[in-house]
Amino acid sequence: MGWRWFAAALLWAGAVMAQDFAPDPPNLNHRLPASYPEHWLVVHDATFFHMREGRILFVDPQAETVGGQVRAMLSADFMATYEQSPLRQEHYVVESFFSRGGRGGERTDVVTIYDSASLAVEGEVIIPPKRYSGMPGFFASALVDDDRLLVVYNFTPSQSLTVVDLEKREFVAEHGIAGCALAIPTGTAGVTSICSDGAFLTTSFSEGGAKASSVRTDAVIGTEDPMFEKAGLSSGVGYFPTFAGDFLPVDLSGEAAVPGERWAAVTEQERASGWRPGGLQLVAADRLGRLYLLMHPEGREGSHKDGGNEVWVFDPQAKQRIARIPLASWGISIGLSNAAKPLLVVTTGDLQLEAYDPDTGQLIKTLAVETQTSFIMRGVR
Amino acid sequence: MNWWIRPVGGLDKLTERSARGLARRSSRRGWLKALGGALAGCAAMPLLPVARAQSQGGMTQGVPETGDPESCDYWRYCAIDGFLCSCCGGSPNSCPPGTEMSPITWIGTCQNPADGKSYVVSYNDCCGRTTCGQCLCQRNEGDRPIYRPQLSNDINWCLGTQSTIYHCSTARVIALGLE
Amino acid sequence: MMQPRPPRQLGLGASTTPGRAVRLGGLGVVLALCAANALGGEQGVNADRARVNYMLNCQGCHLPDGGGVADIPRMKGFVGNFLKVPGGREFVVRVPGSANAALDDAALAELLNWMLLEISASELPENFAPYTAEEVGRYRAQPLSDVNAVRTELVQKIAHLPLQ
Repeated sequence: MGWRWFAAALLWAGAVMAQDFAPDPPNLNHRLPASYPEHWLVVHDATFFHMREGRILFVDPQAETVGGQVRAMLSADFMATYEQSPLRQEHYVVESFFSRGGRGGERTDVVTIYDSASLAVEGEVIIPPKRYSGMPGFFASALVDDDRLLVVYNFTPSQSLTVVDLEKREFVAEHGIAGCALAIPTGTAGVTSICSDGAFLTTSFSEGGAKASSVRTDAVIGTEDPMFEKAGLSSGVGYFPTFAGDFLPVDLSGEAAVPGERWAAVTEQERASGWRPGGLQLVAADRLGRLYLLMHPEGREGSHKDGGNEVWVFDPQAKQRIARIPLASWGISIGLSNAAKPLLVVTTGDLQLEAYDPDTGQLIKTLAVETQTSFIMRGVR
Repeated sequence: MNWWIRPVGGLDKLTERSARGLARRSSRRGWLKALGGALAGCAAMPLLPVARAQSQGGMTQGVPETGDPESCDYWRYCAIDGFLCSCCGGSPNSCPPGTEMSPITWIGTCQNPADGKSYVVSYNDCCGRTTCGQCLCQRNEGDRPIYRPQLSNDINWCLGTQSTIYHCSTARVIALGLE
Repeated sequence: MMQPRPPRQLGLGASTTPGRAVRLGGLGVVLALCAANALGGEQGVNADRARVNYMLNCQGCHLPDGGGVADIPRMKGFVGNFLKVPGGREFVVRVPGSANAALDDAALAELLNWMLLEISASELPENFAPYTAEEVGRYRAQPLSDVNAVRTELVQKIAHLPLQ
């Protein structure tokens, strides 16, 4: 470099120094607010094509740009399951790690505990490497006993529940639930599992996570019209849709699950023309207690995960449909924000996220955030 | 029944994409393409000659064949959920090199269009390599929720294997079904 | 835990070819199946149907030969022992895999009778009487709440059986 270049560089440096310059400080981290805005969404992107790299995104659907919408992320390895506790100001990701990465090696199952404001990992609890891995849903884990216990569903294929004490941050117990699946929060300190004969089994825990009781209902789910293992929760009642378009209400507010009378979500005419529920996360409830169900016409055996082109809205008290929302694009999963004026978000067949106003049925926008396979959306709590 | 070939708003573009055979590449939009492949094939894709199907290897002795084992609409895949081992270095009934077939699995039945008979199909997963990512399919005839695990394709069936990491899915014909 | 015992001379020559009848050797087995036929009511024993029902309802976890893997217990060469101890005959029907199967009582009885002879004939008691549909219906109406505890207890009883 010749002397002229050197002189020019000096002059430039001088000009910069002459301004009132403050360099970017190191180690600046954003924090999230202690209490999240009620319209935010939690999007679980299971990254089906890269299962060991799943993620949980906190999304502000009101923002316009990607930068505005993506507020933060958590890792969620290998088809993880996720819980949020506003009470404890923490997030929990139940995930699996492999000592040899993509080919396996030793598997370690971990409950990773995040602080909800800093999103720093506050701790972790190693649990038996038995957690259910499969398509994500809401009921593979549960927070119970005022969020003191975290219960995880295991499938090896033996079926059991792992109990973690979140106060002590330790694994405390494993309870067998042979023949039954999942962990749906029930009463103050219990979870309900669905059994392969169509019964519900509620396991309750005493302080510290020991099994206090185990109550099993009669078999109420037949094989002729299977019930989805997914529900909208409204006023302590889980509303489980069936393949043929009924809702089975199950009261989960007491010490043990109590199945109620099923009611039809479709008229006989609609049933005859093949309107059926379908999708991955196909049912949700909003803060007002309304149920949302993803529906498709011309349903048949095997169409129960196809998704749908309409979302039907129900008042579960009146057992009546109150709205039909035609979707602009085919949907495969739905979720609701917990805002006073809720937002309906739909994963499209093209794997975009679209936001609707459920009151008007209008498409508000396609979110700018890019995700891979976001099957599970919910509102922050 | 192909949802994307119905006149639903904005799906023309998708129809165009799904008509092209699809599901051959992994991509960010693979789910759609794969779904397209799964269902579009039922109506639109011509069946491949038997010779082609048999040249793929992995066919079952005594079972007449038709269709393309690299396509989601191939008859054995009537309840498959995942990546086709046929697209990952394996075949409908064998695992890609270096992977381990799960002994534990779920089992259903599919109808073979070549002879109209139903066959018992075992959907063993191949395990121990990172997700294959090719030819994603989701078909659900006879699939049931995970509280009936022996009939559920939502489960990662890499169980009883050295590694529980899912790579791809096979569809082994193990018996003639009950009429 | 188990003392090895000389196998009884019962053939287990089940065909694995699709669509073919299962060939069973041994007069005892044939008689047992005939008895099952008589007691099982109108359905009788159809080995093909039993085998396909085993495939669709059991084999996914218990494996084709009942050998078990991971935390799935071995049935092959063992499950017949349960019928020698009090509570064991009920246990085989009350385990979730049996009790919860999407099969009616007659089909479940047929499957269990076929399976016991197919994979564990040598361990069955001498006076083995096949399950009837009515009996299976009675047992499966009482599902087990703690399978592992009951199983452990029964396996201990089996271990203490006098050698024959």
